[in-house]
Amino acid sequence: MNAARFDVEGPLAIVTFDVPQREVNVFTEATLAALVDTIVAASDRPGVRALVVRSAKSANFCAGADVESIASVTSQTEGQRLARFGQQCFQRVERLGKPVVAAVHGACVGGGLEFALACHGLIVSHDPKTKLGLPETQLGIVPGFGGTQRLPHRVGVPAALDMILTGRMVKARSAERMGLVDDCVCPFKLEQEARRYALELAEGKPRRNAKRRRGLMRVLGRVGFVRRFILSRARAAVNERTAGVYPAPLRALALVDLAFSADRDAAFLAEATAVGDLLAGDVAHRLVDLFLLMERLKRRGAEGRGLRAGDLVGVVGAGVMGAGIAKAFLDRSARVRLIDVTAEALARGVRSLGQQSKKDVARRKLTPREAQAVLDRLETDTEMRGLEFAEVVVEAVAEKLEIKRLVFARLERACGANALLASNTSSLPLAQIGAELGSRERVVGLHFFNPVDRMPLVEVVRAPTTSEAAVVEACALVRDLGKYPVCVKDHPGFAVNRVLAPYLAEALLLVEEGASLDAIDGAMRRLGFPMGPLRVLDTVGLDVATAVADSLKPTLGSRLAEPRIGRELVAMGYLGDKSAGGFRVRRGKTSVTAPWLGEALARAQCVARTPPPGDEEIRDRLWFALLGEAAFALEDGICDEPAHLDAALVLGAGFPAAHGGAARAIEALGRSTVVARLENLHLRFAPRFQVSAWLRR
Amino acid sequence: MNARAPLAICSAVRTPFARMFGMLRGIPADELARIVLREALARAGASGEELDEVIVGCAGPPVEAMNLARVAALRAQIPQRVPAVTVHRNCASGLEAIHAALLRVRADEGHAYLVGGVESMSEAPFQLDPAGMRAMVEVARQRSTLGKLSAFWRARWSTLLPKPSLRAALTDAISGLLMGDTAEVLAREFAISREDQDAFAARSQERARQARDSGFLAGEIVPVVGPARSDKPFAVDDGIRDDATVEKLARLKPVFDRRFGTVTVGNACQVTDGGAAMLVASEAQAQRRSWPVLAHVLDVVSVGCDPRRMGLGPAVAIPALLARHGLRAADVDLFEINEAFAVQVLACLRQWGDQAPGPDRLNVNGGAIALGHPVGASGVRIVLTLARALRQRGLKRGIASLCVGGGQGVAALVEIPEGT
Repeated sequence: MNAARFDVEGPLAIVTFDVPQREVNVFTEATLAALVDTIVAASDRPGVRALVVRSAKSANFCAGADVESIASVTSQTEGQRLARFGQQCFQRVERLGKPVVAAVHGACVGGGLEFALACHGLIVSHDPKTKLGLPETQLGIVPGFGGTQRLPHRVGVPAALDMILTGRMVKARSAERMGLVDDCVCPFKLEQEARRYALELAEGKPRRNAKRRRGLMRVLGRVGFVRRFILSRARAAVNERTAGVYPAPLRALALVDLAFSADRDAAFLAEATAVGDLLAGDVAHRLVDLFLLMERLKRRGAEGRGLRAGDLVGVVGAGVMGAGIAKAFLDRSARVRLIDVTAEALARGVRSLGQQSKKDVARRKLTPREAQAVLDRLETDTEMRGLEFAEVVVEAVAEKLEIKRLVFARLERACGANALLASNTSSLPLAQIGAELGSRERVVGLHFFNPVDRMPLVEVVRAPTTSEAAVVEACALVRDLGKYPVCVKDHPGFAVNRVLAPYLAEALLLVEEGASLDAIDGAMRRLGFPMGPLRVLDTVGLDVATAVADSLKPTLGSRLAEPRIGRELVAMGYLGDKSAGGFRVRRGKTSVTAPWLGEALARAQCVARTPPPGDEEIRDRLWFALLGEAAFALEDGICDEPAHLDAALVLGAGFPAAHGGAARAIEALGRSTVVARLENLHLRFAPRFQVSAWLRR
Repeated sequence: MNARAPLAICSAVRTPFARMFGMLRGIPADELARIVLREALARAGASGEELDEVIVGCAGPPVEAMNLARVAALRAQIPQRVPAVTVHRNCASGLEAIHAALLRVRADEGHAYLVGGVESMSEAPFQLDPAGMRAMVEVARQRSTLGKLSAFWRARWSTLLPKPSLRAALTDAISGLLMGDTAEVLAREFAISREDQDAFAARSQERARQARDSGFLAGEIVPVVGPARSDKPFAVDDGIRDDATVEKLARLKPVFDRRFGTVTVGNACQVTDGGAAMLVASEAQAQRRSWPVLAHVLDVVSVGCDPRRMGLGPAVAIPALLARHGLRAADVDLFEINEAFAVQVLACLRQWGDQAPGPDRLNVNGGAIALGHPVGASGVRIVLTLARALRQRGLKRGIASLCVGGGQGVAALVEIPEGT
């Protein structure tokens, strides 16, 4: 079966793109060729004066190049060849001699958008599902089918950079405003209007929406020195954000410049070369593999029922985590019954939900009526009542075993027999929480991360007594919350907290030894971490981090150092961003080293080393503290596969995706190298930096 | 079909009642109704799927939710297929909702109803009088700016000033008397002194205070925590005054007849916001679903009377109810008569003569003088308070009754079923 077909309707040919056996249209060499050949064949029919290209998928125009086939390309020449092939295909469309109008409803992404840009007209449906974007840089490559060349000419340099560098999706109406598309019409008029527009173009009428493409910024973008200024600012921003660890955005910047400064053929060749170079490198493959892995993680709950609109979800505990979890469910059309022991606690939780929903309205994420509907689904109680029909209950009370046990004992009585009982425990063993219950098989851990609305990871904790059905159901719920489930064993600290703990402790030791905060955070930022360890501690809260460390100490033993400085700051009342400050204090938009740090160090009786630890030592100690503990986690079999640990660290710990995760980083260095480096560090810093048996395998 | 079948009350909750422009300001009636409807379902352990209809009493629904019951039901996530109706009998609107459910169950139309009563007096809108509205229409009709300006200029400006609708709502349309004026009529005709009224009011406050302090009221209240509110929950009726003694009440000035009147803000019901709701069902349905049964509503009777003496409503409705069931007042353990005005309750007792219940059987947990009278909600509140008081004291039979603006009395017979 062919991926495209066409029908002739008088002077029009309607080309329908429909990749067989796929939910979405993707470009492989075959489907790309099929689409373009069909377009050419249709235009050769006598009497055809214009063409419309549409998709037969319900909410997808084209999802771009097939990521699996990107993953299989490893050589420069193969990557370059594929990009050239795509470019030539789209140039055939561009030079067809008859107008081609793309009628887009649903996602039009990557190569799909590049195709639409090559068409002579682009008309989209005004629908929430319609989104346009070029996410290639997020996969470590650049748009390779002419996107870096056509987009800047279409929307201007600043808007094009924004789309290409961030991979941001643009909705229909704003795509019209920025001049990306020619027209935006309601979904049921799309086909009709696309036909009319195609005939309009065939009669030689001008493109619609042309006025928006003549703004001042467009003209300025063509002026060399202005453009170079814009590009240098963007380059500085990219370097600031990612420390130059990701090559793709930098290549994309250069290509956008070429769109105006070089002749077209040379620029297209440069684009294809860039794709080849990037695909030959490691970073793109790590990013692509992570992407595919995350898609697989989402399929873990495929058999589960998942979350349906109107489902009742119980959330016990109205604190920061409880309210965040409630919001996540409310936003996905579930009803939430929020339970806490006092009405005061409920009032605080509900108030914070109300403030968030106000923000949603202010940011135009929701209309006032939609925001009202979200809060309408929320109900509160000070006792465990009204949970008979709950599909799932998530407990997010204080991290105290007796309290959690009591909550679960009551939940078991208050809920229906099939309800999933989930705990947001971050450090207590799930098996102990559920030990006294009659139905232990439905007790599962759902470890959300703070802030819930921004953290895409949820650790799904499986105790030995947890049934497979409960795990699948939990994964399905996480998927329906728009997050990624990673299944972990019921082992202290699970995956993320456990691997992070020695790393954060090492950072504190470095502070005690006199290393500057910026040297410590900077070393990790240069490796691609979005935040250095001390920034993380200030964000999470030093009290929380200390409590987690305490709970991990029995398991990690001597591998986990016990720095005093963190406790000292907690004792002085400096808990991080939620208090007056922690290691740093906010000064306007930036943070500076806290003035009380010296006193805290003195109180903790820390003696600085002279000279303080150098940059290389800082980097090695932090990096191998992280990799070393990750190896122990792999030895313990915390996750089903090493790759899952990698995904958890990237999604939940800010581990740089450029390194692909800890297991991937270890393999990249070679296990024997890691062993040697760890042994070296162990000699100096015993008992830390131990070598896990997994590394010697 | 069973003409005598009782209606089982399976759960009953209310919001705390808040003085006008106080703790519940800015929360419209449909939001109050959403909270209590949802909670009534949850406390019975019932699902919206099991309902046959939602019936809510409200005397002044917001214009944004004219069929308030439907709006509130949908906002409370009750399934779309469950219909909803708003009923109106002024002060007895809430009791009317219960009556409507009773009739439907008896007629075998359905088995389970969510009933409620709700009122936000704070959100009662300001209105333009008809002349002002005509002037605004005239302005709107003009095409040119100059024409609009001149039409505006021609209008009588005093008519353009919005007036509170609440005052109009509390005026009897036939006699033109304010509700307080009808109370003064009773005070004059029955020669009920200011002292007697104040003593009654002080007792109501005292009893409400005890009910609050003993935790009795907390058992029926769902605290209001709302995003629109501060981060303090609202969990206790704020009309109860700890300092309401006879001496202090005596110092208040009459409101409606400033020279010779006896009705003050202290011995009249407070103007408040609040809502109440119940899950009610046929006895068979309650047993099938194993919903708890708090009490039975056996009958509801409405009788008309003189609009100028609307306060006497209970004095005609209760005897009618007793007669229909062959009961004497002595057979009834507790009475709950809504305290629109102290003088109005006292007048009813006088009218009734020697059958009238003593203080030990009347409004044992205080009444609207302390808690307030959110018009649509009171009918549900007095039934739920009566049912809980009967249970708490191990008693069997009670009557709840309200006087109704416009000249009506409504009374309901409540019983605790045998063996529960």
